[in-house]
Amino acid sequence: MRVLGAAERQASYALVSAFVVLAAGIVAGGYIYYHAYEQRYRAQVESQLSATAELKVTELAAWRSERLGDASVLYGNAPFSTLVQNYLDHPEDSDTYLQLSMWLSKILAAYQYERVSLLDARGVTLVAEPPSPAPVPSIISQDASEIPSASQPIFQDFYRDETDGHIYLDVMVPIVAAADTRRVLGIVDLRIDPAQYLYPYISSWPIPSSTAETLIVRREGQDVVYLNELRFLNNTALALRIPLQRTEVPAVKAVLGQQGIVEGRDYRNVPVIAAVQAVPDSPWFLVARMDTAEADAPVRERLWQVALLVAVVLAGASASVGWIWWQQRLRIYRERAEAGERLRDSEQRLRRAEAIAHLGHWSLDLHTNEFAWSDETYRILGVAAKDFQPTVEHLLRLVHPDDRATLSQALIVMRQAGAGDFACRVLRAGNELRYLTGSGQAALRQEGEPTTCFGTLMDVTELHEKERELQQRNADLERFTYTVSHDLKSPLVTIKTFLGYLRQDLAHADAERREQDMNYIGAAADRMGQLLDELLDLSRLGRTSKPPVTVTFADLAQEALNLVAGRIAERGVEVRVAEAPITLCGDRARLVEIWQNLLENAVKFMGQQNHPSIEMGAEGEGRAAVFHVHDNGMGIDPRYQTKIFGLFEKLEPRSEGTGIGLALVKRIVELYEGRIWVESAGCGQGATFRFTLPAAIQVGNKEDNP
Amino acid sequence: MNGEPIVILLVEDDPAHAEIVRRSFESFRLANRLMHVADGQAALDYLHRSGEYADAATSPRPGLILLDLRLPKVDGLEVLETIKSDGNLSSIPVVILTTSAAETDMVKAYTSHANSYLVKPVDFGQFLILMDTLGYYWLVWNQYPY
Repeated sequence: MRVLGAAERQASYALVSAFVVLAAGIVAGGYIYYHAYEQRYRAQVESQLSATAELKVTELAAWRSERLGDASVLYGNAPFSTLVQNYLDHPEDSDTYLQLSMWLSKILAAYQYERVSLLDARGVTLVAEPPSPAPVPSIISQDASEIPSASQPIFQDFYRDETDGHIYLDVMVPIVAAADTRRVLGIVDLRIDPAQYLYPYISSWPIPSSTAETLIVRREGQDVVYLNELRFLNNTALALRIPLQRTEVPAVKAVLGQQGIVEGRDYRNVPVIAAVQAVPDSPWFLVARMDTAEADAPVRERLWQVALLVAVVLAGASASVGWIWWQQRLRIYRERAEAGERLRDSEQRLRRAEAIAHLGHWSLDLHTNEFAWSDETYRILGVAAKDFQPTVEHLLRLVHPDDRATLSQALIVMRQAGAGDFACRVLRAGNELRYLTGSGQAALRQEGEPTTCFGTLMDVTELHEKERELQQRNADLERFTYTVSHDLKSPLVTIKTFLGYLRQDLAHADAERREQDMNYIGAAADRMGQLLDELLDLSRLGRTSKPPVTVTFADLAQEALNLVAGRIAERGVEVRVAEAPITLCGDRARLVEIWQNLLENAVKFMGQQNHPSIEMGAEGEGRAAVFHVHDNGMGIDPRYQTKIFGLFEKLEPRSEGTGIGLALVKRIVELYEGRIWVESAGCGQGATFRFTLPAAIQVGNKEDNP
Repeated sequence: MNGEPIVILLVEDDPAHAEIVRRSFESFRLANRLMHVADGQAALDYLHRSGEYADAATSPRPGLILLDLRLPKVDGLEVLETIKSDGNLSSIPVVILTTSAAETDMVKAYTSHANSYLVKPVDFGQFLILMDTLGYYWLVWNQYPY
């Protein structure tokens, strides 16, 4: 699991925040720029639409007034009125007819009217230029019959001529009688073909555009009627109707009174933007429209450009922030790796130090009574971490039964007093007894109560053994100096005292007494000499180390026998050496001394035995082999069986020797890590000395060690 | 002073030292009243009249015991302890006569109720004075309840 440190988290947060602010700034900048551009562009489009609409409305209004201007030439024209009167009065008069025709032709030429006709008050053609056999359209004849009520020229808006199927619009000029202006003589009908000028003009657009167009509509009841041909739909003039309910259509908005810029859907149901305006003094409403798609196209293009730019800048910012983040991460990982390295190094040092010092550490959870042990602690206690659960209960099972109570008590003291020491023994596998000491302290506290103890555990077995050995040595030394001071002083006292007696006796005692004095002196001096020699011998033990040599048991036994041969022969002892295939390795002279001393001892204490015999041999194999020297002599009282190995200890006051022999044997045996003891049922029962020499026994193939 | 001189039990493993004591007491005409045993076990046997010392005529109860400390078989201090813890024997004065001047020995001896602790001097003249004084003190001046 990856755990980020607080500082690392903070750095990451700062970086993420910086990136978010930067990104927001970039996006906001892009948006503001785009929005401003869009507004500016839309305003431009709107003004273009408005201007176009304005222009066309003005033009249309001007066109209409021009047409009315044409009409005004005839309206209230007295000569023309008189001419019409004359024609009505005298239809057969060809001169009048010709004059009328001329008038009409002039007007026809003035503005490329499709036809100029003179109708009577009932709407019947009187004169037409160019002449036409076609009947007057019903809408015109109807208008003509209603015209007397109006006194001005009027427009007949777009209509379809039922005869030729074309669309026209007419200007109708009432001709009133010169004498009575309220009497209508007839009507001059100026017929205009919108396809000639009006439609092309309306549909024209000042600049190139793929969707823009202008159109005019008028209201008819609950519908809007399109009056011209449309850009995207054919045969629409007077044919396309859209109900007023469809208020989203700009044309509907226009007829319902809206002015200016509107948005909605057009006749194709396509979103459009339009400028709508009413044409003054007419039923027309002008719509200048353009598809929103076209109007917005540059905006949309700009949007893509801006978006692309924002994306590029964002990517750049991301890359920069990412790079910084990566560098930061690298640094953190490097630092962490170095810290980990240092930690591992430190742990390894601790482990090594613990292994070298045989010092483990532990912590104890006082609530659960569970331990956490270091590797060395496991090793010291002789259990494997993988199959041992370290609890107080389990620990106590490892501890020597005699020490369990003490250790439990020590743990209680540690808990109560906050610190404490303990010493205990544990039984490792194979009944190996180890001496341990430890200390502990309350490490963590909660509300003053310790929750955890931390401490050390040390294997002091070697130390303990050394200490015991040292104590033994000390006791030996004490005993040695004591016995030396006593036993060496004893012959000295003898010598000095008998020397004194000798002086006295030289004066008046007999020769026998003097001889006796001198014998005492001589014996004491001999004894002292012997003591000193043997002490010297003893003190050399373990100090001079000759290179070890390999020697068989049989050879050793034979050499010892040779050394004691004289005394053996003198006493007539039968000696038997049992076969034992054991090879030893050590200081040959010292090893020989063991058997030599034991043989001497056996011969010396043969007692009254008539058939004295000694048997030497060994039982067992390898390092556990037990050697023995058995005799059938006087034996040793069980009470004295340990005392005999002491320095200068003698059971027989008058026996020859100094009491060093067995002490010397014991020391040699101990030098080779062995032990020596004597078995004897008591006086007259003979004695068997047994000993081991583990460190001197050669284990393995004899051929390898010739 | 009674007409009957007291019996002295000398417990001494070194025959030479035993001879010295014997010679020193010659002037006190102890004759065969100085009994000598050579080890601790023999001393205990003598006092308990066991084994070869069963005959009261040849092994009379001693009125004074001169005891060496370093003895074969049973150590002198052990002998002392046995005597002093035996109601029958505890009244017999025990004088330690040894070559050991070790303080531990002395403390142990007095703790075990030794009546006196004497160190054999190396100097002959002093040894003579010591033995003479010892003889006078214990054989002439000292009063015994028996």
